[in-house]
Amino acid sequence: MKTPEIKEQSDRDPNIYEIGYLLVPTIAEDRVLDDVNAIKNTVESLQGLLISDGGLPELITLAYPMTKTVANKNTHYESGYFGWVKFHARPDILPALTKSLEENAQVIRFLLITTVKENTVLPKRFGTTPRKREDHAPAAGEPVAILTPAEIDKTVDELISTATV
Amino acid sequence: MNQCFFSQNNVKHIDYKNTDIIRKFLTPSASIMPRRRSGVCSKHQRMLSLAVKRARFLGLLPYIAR
Repeated sequence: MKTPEIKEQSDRDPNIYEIGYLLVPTIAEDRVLDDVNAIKNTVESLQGLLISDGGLPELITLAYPMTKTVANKNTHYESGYFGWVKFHARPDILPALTKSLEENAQVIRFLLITTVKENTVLPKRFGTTPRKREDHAPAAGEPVAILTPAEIDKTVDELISTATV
Repeated sequence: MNQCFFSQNNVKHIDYKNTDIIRKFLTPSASIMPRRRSGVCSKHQRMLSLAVKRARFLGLLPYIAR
């Protein structure tokens, strides 16, 4: 008897990848784009299709110091330009891409992961409850107290008398 | 009642780049908060754990804070 083939049900496209990278902080700000384009060109040269990127990498302070060894010399970094790029590619190009990034002297560290096509970056104020206004207008069903001018005068007089005592 | 922050906000994927949100689920010593304390469901706790580890590798979050 032939057993039915079980296929994994998943909404993930296995060919969508993301590279998160840290570039050395010694690059001048106007030259960062060249290094980003170099990474993108590497992806495209390996027949990868770019989907999105994080824009211009921003200089961040690293949560812990990192060391990169280039030509038997250790260099310590406490900050770096963090950027990312999302692309569609065949899985067989990944070893070549990894090797290319490992050989890139401007990249301190990189992370190659599978991801989804949709934007997964949430806004900064995501999940916070909006602050309620204290001077809110009464709701439709809420009774509104209407005072006559005489009642207002009486209330004001009472307030003045209590304030003077 | 569902107490999971991510389920309440209909989050399908936890990205390692969302460090402001991930940071809420770390203890003062930067270890991952247990779900009995944060109220996160097991599915999102697994995603959160992976996102924290990725963010740590890229230096976006610390391994340990003193």
